[in-house]
Amino acid sequence: MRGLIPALVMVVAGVHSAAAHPHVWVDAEAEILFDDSGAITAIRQAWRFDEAFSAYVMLGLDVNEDGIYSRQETAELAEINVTSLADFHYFTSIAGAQTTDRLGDLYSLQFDGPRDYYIDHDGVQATLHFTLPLEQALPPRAHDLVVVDIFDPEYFVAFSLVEDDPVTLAGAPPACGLTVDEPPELDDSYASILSLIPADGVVPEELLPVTTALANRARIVCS
Amino acid sequence: MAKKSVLLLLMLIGVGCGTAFANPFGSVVPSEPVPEFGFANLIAWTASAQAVFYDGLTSALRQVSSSPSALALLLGLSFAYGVVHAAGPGHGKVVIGSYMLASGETARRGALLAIGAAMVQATMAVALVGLLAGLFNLSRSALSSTTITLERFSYGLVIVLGLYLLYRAARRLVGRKTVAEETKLPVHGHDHHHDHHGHHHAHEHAHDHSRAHHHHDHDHGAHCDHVHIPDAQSLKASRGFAQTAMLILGAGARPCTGALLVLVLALSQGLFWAGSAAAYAMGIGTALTVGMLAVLAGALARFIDRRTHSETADASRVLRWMPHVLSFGGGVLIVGFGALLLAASLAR
Repeated sequence: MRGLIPALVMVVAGVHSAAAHPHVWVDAEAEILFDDSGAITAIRQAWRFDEAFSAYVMLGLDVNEDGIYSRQETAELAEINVTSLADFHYFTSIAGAQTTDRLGDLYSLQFDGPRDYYIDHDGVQATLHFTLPLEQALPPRAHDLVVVDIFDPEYFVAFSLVEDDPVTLAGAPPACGLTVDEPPELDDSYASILSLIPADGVVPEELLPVTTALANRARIVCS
Repeated sequence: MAKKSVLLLLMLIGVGCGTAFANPFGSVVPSEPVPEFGFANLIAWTASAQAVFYDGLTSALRQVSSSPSALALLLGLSFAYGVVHAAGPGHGKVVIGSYMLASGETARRGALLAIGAAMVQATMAVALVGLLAGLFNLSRSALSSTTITLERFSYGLVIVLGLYLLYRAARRLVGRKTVAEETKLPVHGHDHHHDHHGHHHAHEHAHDHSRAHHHHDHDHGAHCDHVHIPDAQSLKASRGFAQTAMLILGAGARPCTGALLVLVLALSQGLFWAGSAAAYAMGIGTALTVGMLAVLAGALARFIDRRTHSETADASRVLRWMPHVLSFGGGVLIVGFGALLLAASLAR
């Protein structure tokens, strides 16, 4: 029987687990951090997970059973989260652009490892906080605009922005302005297409306009 | 003391098995492996239905302790989820449907099997979350790995069941018997069966029907050779029981992901009772869909079988072979499906 298993695995190209995307819903909030020279140095984020996923990840973490998830109790989970997110580029991209650039083609700057990460729990939902420092500070004035996207092109995680002030600038020069584009509601036909992307799958090229349209996008202009 | 029993439990359920599939947060409730044979549109449809269900469910659960109508909504949504989910690519439907084609069981029994499997599935979900998370306060990884262990167990059983059905189909073919003949076969209380020749099973049963030889199927795990079978009636009953147990556990041992999610969510809000009720409501919905399919498949198999026999004299060759085709086809479908799912689960 055991000898059969490798053979079966080979037959199984057509089967994958986890077809029904998304699996996790996140309400995101981001703060763009500037240094004294007016360059962007980091993105600080807070991701509030949906109730069911929150309940699931918190299972067993209230070790002292006092009904509260302390930061100490959730420290390991926060670590696992940010470590796993590294493979997904933290679902975050930041790039300087010219107005003539096709935004979908922008290539994100690299991040250093996340810092200041922890998980809060409000009794119902868990929120992951973390800060992503840019490997190299990005001076917005060198570009027409800076684009920050928070989304999962594979739609494993459905990101949306919190209602009030989802993106803020911290320490930005007065000349800097911010616009936030929320994606349109995902319509059913998009949902159907996206739900077919396997959990470990790559988004086919013809679907990129669809997934890029789902990005929660902040545009920063410092004229 | 509690630690010790937890440890023992972990060892029993094989917590070590792989949950290391890549995902952005390290872990999600493992969803059922989904075979892709042109089910694509159906899957997509259930996926968006799932999102609607999820929103309604969380809000119903939130209000369930304060409003009785929220409980009705919770149960209604769960029931609907069960109906819809069973229409998706879940394996219970395929296994029970194919079994009905292959085995020649009555439609009524098919409905009972579907209900049994769905209730076992709901019970597994309630027990899993109640014990691991509720009682032992274990973490998500224990829940995930136990789910995956159960899943592999269930798919393994499906394969064994399919092989068993194929074996029986082969015997019938060699003995030129059909499902109906086998079930009509006279039962002799004094019938003995010896298998000390080491014969191939197929040969062994190529006997003349007139000798009223009782057909005894081997269940390789449960019986050994050289065993005297004193009472064919009870043998038949126990064979039936093993087959039924394999089918029900094969289709129902792996709790459905939706039920796990509801239960975990309910548990986190101190509403485990509501989550359990929701899990059983899902089970009833699943039983409805799968049961209807089982009844249809059973009726179809019986219809074909009866036609074959009422017109034996002038029945075409094709018609005469139909019951065998069904028996083999059903068995092949079950083995293939179980193997695909098991491989997908092992590849997690």
